[in-house]
Amino acid sequence: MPDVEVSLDGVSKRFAARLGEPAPAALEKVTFGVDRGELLVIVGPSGCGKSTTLRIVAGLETPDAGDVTIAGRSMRGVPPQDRDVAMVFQGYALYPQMTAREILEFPLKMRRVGRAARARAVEEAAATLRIERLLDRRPGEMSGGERQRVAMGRAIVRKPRVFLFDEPLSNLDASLRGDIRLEIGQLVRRLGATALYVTHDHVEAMTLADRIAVMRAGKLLQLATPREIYERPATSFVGTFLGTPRMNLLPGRVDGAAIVAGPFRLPRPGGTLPERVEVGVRPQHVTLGGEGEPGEILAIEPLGAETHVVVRVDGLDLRAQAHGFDTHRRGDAVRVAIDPARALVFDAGGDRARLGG
Amino acid sequence: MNPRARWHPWAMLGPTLGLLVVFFLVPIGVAGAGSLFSWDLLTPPRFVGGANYAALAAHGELLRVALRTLGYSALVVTGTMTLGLGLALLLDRPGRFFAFVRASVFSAYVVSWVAVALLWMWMLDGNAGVVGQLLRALGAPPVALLGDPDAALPALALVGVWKLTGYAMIVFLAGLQDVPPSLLEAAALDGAGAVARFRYVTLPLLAPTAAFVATTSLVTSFQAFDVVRIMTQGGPARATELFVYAIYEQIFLNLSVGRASALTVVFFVLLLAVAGLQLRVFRTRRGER
Repeated sequence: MPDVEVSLDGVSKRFAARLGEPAPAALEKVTFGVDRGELLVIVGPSGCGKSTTLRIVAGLETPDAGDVTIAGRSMRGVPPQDRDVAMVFQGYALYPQMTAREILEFPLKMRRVGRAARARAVEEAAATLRIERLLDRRPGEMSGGERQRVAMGRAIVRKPRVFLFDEPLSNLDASLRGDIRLEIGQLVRRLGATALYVTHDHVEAMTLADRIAVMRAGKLLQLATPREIYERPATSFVGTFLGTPRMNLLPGRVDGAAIVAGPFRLPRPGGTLPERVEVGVRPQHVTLGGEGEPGEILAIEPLGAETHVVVRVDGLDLRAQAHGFDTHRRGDAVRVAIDPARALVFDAGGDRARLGG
Repeated sequence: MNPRARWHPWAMLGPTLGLLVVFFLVPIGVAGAGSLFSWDLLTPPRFVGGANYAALAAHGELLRVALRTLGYSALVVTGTMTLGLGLALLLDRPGRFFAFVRASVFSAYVVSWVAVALLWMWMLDGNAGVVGQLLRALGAPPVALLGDPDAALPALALVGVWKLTGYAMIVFLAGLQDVPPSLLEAAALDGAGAVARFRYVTLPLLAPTAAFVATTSLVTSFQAFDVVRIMTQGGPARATELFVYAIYEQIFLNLSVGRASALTVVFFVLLLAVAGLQLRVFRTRRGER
């Protein structure tokens, strides 16, 4: 069992609504740990409390209840500057009047590192991020991607215990996002750093994370590896939030030893089941052509490597995924089948938890 | 975008240009022309060339008035900016109490100069004044600040600071609102304490605000007249004779419109130079950062 670097224990937080501003998301008894050297991604829709969680770890917010520990030390009453954490902000938060060199030097200067050691550390960090040529420029003279790198540089230059990332890619062009995402992953792993990364983008979560924490409405829904989250989501929300195209959710009911969802029948999972359930089927587990129920193609979205198809079967609209440029056309009649072994069954009421093994 | 006819842009600029010409360029021209004549408001004006300027310079009066005005302005601008920024930092907090204090400080700026001057005349009165009584209670000898040639000008500056601080505070408060919270948070995570955050984040971001407050309070203090007219009439021993008051004296007491016009022209050039210098200082400082 690896050491836990950061842990949250029953952390709750409520905000009073301020005039003209939406109140920040509240947290309800959030408990989890980040292992040493792990990259943990917190993902969820806006208002789920993911940024609040990050800010509480950073010390920028104080929890109403519960405790945060870093390296086994309680952070109660410890101000941000004494926590040995570095943060990459969504808007980068670079000091506009300073050059990149001064910005990178700043955290070291504040910690009374000598001039020579500072210069060395800045050169090293700049080389790591390949931003040497930016060092004498101010943020106003840089592109979004360049600012992002300088913000990363400021975080790595003093080798903190924990990195915090608050949606670091959301202000970048889509074309840059993929590249920098890859770089962040490589960088964090090369430094062997512990990192907590907040995003609303499920692709970032899946691609970067050692483990993913899915949050909604201030609660932690599931914390597991990307594969576990994808294949065995704890609730139907987790299932639909991660993965594109979105997982299909079909209304179903228990019928003896089977579950019936529209025209499809699948084996009943073990345990007691409520009368009404939801059946989750990922688009790649919907097969078009061959055996199956009769359906009609409503829409196709060719993307090159794959084509997304919407097909109507017995009054139900299903998203399906096919390879390459699909030969189907809008209005075609087609046979539709689902893979019963890969279908997931959720409670149709309450917290929509996944049922069965 | 190109105008369809060449006169179109001039038509757009017309109203503003018209106002500028009528209320700014023409008066300056009139003053400039008037400064070359000798006129007592009764007999016809007589052309004297540069004699008015020569007379002002010869007595050393011009230099004394200019230095006095610069000294007064320096006191008012530095006092206003320091106190205004200090109060803005102190009162930039939520809550009704702070809102009340902010409003109280600002209310001084809304009061007319005449009322302020009368109020302070009473406060600074050697015998009955609050300040005098306070000094006496502390065991100091009673001083009539306004009657002392060394203390009168600083006393007037104090009144100017008292009135203008509320204005500076409001502008600095607006400047503080524009400091992004994320920059202060980033600085905190970078290890900066409250003082370092102020020095490295807040202060540099307030530079444009400071330039604005400095220029506007400079212009206001240069134009000081009401306080002088009401509180000291330029005395004692001319210790508080500031530029605008000197101009007034030349016209209405000496009936010398030519001299007054010459003073006005010098005043205009001096104010332009000082304000230009001030803006330059702020601009280069911003360029350095």
